[in-house]
Amino acid sequence: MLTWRATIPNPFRHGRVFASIAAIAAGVALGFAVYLVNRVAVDEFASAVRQLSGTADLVVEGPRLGFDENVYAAIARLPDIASASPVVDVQATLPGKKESLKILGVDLFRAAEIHPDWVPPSGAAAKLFAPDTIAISAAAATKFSVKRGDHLPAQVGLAAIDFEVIDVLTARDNQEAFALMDIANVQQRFERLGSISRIELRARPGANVATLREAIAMRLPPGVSVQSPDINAASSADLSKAYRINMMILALVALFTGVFLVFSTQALAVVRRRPQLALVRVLGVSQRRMIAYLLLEGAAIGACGALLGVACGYALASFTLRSVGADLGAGYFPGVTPSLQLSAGPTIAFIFLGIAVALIGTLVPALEAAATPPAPALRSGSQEIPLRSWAHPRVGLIGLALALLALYLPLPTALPLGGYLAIALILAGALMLLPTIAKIIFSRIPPSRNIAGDLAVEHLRNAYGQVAMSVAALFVSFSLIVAMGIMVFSFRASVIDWLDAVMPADIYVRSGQAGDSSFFDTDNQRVIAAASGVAEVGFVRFQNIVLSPGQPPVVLIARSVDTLTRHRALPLVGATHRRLGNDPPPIWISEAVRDLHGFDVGKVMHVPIAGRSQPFIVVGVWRDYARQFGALLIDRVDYIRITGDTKANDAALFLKPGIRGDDVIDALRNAIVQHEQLEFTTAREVRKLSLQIFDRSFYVTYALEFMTILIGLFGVSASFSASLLMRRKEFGMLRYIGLTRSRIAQALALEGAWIGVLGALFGAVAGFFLSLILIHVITRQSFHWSMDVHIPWRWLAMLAAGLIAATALTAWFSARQAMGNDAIVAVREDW
Amino acid sequence: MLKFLALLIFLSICAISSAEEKSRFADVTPGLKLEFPRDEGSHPAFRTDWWYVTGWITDTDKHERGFQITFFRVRPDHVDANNPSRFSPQHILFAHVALSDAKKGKLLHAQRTARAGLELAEAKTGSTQVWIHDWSLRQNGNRYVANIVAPQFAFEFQFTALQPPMLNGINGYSQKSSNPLAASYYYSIPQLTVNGALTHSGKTIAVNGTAWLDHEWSSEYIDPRSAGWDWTGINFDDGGALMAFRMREPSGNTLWAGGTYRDKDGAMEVLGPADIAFKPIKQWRSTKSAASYPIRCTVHAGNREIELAPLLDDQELDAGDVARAVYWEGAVRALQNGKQIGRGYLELTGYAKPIKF
Repeated sequence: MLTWRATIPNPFRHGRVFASIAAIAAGVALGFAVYLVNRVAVDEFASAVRQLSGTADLVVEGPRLGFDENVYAAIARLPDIASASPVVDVQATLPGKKESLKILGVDLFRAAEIHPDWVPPSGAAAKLFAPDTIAISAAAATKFSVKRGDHLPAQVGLAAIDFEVIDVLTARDNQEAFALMDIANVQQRFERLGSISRIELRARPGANVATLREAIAMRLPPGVSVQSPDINAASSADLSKAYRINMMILALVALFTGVFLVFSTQALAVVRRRPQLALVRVLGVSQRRMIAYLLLEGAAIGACGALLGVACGYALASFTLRSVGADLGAGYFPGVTPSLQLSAGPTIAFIFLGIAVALIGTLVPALEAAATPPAPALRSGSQEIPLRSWAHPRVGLIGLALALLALYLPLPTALPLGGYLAIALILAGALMLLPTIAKIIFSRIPPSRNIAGDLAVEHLRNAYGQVAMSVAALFVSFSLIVAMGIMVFSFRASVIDWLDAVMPADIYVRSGQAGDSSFFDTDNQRVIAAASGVAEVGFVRFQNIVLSPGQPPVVLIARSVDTLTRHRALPLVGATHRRLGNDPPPIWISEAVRDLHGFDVGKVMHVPIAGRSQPFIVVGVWRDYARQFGALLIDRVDYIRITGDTKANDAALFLKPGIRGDDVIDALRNAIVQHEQLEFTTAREVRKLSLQIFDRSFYVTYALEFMTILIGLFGVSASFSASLLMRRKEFGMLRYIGLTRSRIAQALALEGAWIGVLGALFGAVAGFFLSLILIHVITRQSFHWSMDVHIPWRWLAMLAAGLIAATALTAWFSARQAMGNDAIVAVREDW
Repeated sequence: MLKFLALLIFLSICAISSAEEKSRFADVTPGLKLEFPRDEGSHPAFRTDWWYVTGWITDTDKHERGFQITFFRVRPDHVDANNPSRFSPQHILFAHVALSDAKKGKLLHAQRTARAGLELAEAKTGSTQVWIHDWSLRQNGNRYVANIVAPQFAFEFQFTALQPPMLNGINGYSQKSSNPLAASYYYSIPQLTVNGALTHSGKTIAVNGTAWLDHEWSSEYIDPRSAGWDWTGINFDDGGALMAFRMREPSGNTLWAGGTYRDKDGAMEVLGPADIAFKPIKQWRSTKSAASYPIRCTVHAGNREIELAPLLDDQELDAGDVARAVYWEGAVRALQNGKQIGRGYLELTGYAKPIKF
């Protein structure tokens, strides 16, 4: 160690090492931050689900608008049931508030057996018997700033009803925002007579819960299922799993492009210190020792980066939680107010990840350094080109072939791991092919009359292996950026097309802001349809139903299919089915329903509506970017026939020619007495808002792209410096024969530009294929969204030009720096 | 006699009570002729109904235990009578059961509360048919079947009435204070034979014995001046029966009293406030509540003088989760000149804390 320390210059004295540290720190920070934020979000969500299910052993759940209350009467009678608590769950729309209030209609005698915390502090459960009284959780009291004795208006239909807050539930565990109301009053007030949303169950002590579950399941109507509350918590966390894993992989991509930077930097450090390393070998340090020392150096760099990264990651996470929210702006966890917690295990894991990345990057240069025979290396100036052996074109081709296979790998998970594997294999394979490609491209560059140009091209042709090394980091980062760029651009363009297609009407009217207690009754609907200036109205009714037990619910949309078809507002994908005479009523399923629940065009599917299993024929698959877990579209006429539910949530108004939207809105405000809660929007406003949300959810992606391109440029700069060091003899000679420094710098800038061209070209080609995997495999499998490929040519051209300019500049700058030494010294080194 | 616990439930559910609230319910007035089995069923027009079975059971080892089973119905205040929801709490049902075991030296008890409805908990009219989930008391002719599964014990009892109902007060109109509106309709069925099974400590054993059934209904019952009451119902070994009660003022003085004696041949003796007296012999002090109860006492009923002696001293009930109800209610022997002449139940309320209205 002493010999080493005395002889080898400390790499930390050189500023470039800090680029490596920064790259690792950035990668670790991003990964760690994403991990922390995800963790917080999932924990909060699960604890919310747990708190709201109390000590229940089993929970019977059905569609959002409930199921027959007789199910409760039948289940509660089962001998192994100790307590059965029926719940009517209403997301009450609060007039003028952006957020809804969860009102749980309960029988407190039963609910208290499962939620001891729910008994109002004043004890008397019977106080809630009075109509229009609620007890509100402390969290909700804070959120909506109400106290005991206050009145809180909630919307039913279009009417606002005042509820008196008779108690605030202050027990320790009531940290969720909700209100309790007597179940009979909720049924009456919110027009839910005859139906309940949930039954919470406690098994008799000693009863076999699994057997009980089966006994219950047998008695449930279609669309109603029984689960343990843990499973419910897990499936709510599953809602965002794909999103979270994709975020994590993006963060790790940033970390692994850091490998290339470490590699370039360490290769440079090895080259720079070659004589000293050779001297150490001569002084008796074994090859193995040498490798160990160099790896230790790498590990030190990694550790510095990782520690810094963990600290930054924590800061980033807490900043993100405060500013954007736990879902990184994507809207998965509304209403969750998270707090950050640090645990030792994951923190250590991320530190080790950073160190591992640095070690991987150091390994090849360390092996190279150890393999160099010391005697020639000691001769000054004999820095002939190493690092040629790393590329194996055949391995590269095998990698690409494996990538294709990976795409079709049947994996026992819903996550797109095959897609990610394919991306990794393509990148690795392409890297192996890089020297060969570099050789082919550079051998085709035509000769120029310019001496600088000739010099550059000549070097590129002879040293293509080394050039490939310089370009590796650049290639990886550029191809990833291109892939992400094409994907996001395609997605955005597809979303715009989709929005334009699904929103053909002039004005959209919503019965209330958030929640499910607002609606248009038939009188409201008549008034809206009769408003002057309105040519046509399409009313929409939404329901949430459970298609497969244990899976997130899907949205059932009932609207006039006739209107949709006439305005071409149904963006169908793939084949359609022509309905035959005796086919059941038609249904259109979204891509997610096809993927997640295995239904397809031309087949009959049974949908649990109104407690019965209703047959429909799938006539088409439509693209729906709004509901990730699937949506079903049926004709409102069929819906009303099946359910008798004539309410509507939204209305789409088509105006007569020449009519101004504002006039119609004014007319409707005059015609509808309870118009305060109505929300009027135009397609343009919805489109603007949707794109805002879209862009916000890709903020992190943009940040990651920026990171990777910086890392790539650092890599270029490092490899260039390394190559310049190795070529000092050559430059000395050139100076000696009379070339000016600026001429040489020009030649090198040109070389840099060609490297940029190689990186950009090859990166763009690889990136294009990667984007296809992102679009057709990863997004499809993660979110069940298909999209059309749109290539952002202008953005690509600008990016490529910028990259080429940046590499040329980097090269030029490195050259100016490297040639600060006297040319004579450089030449003299040779003899 | 009104169960103390039931009264507390009643008080927690109904604020006592505006004139407007009162006017919703039927009044208890003298002169109504009770009909059976119709009046053994629920009376939804009145604010409350309660069925109260107490008794002594003996197993094959001659081991004696006391038990009580109460079902109570009340119409709560503030409920929208027009709410069509089947969950609407038009009637609240409450049940309380207890087992006194001298070997254990203490009382085991359990309770349930539910809103009536969906056939999960009901109090039917026409005959005694009342249940909360799988706790039930059902009448079939002169037989009554009680099924109770509590956490620590279970009853499966069949009661057979060998005598007709005994109408308390004036033909079933039982006045509870000098205010004639503070009254209930009240009959008892004494001398019920008990057959059935008791499950206790993991064992099910056959038991038989004698029991007493009370059924009362009323809309307004308690005079606000009363602080508590003493009540007893005794089945004499010769087939006679005695019911006696007194309402106490906070000072301990008697506010009102009444009772009924019926001999083995059915001859009735209606006892008024002047005919009844409860005289303490032995006070028992609860270590839990620090209350003192006259658990051994002499009851003067007309020209009879009967000494009551408890099966065990600690038959204090602390239904802590229901309105802090602490009272004494237990199996007692009836003695005359130191000789046992009958068995029954004694209820002593308002000793731990006066009832507050």
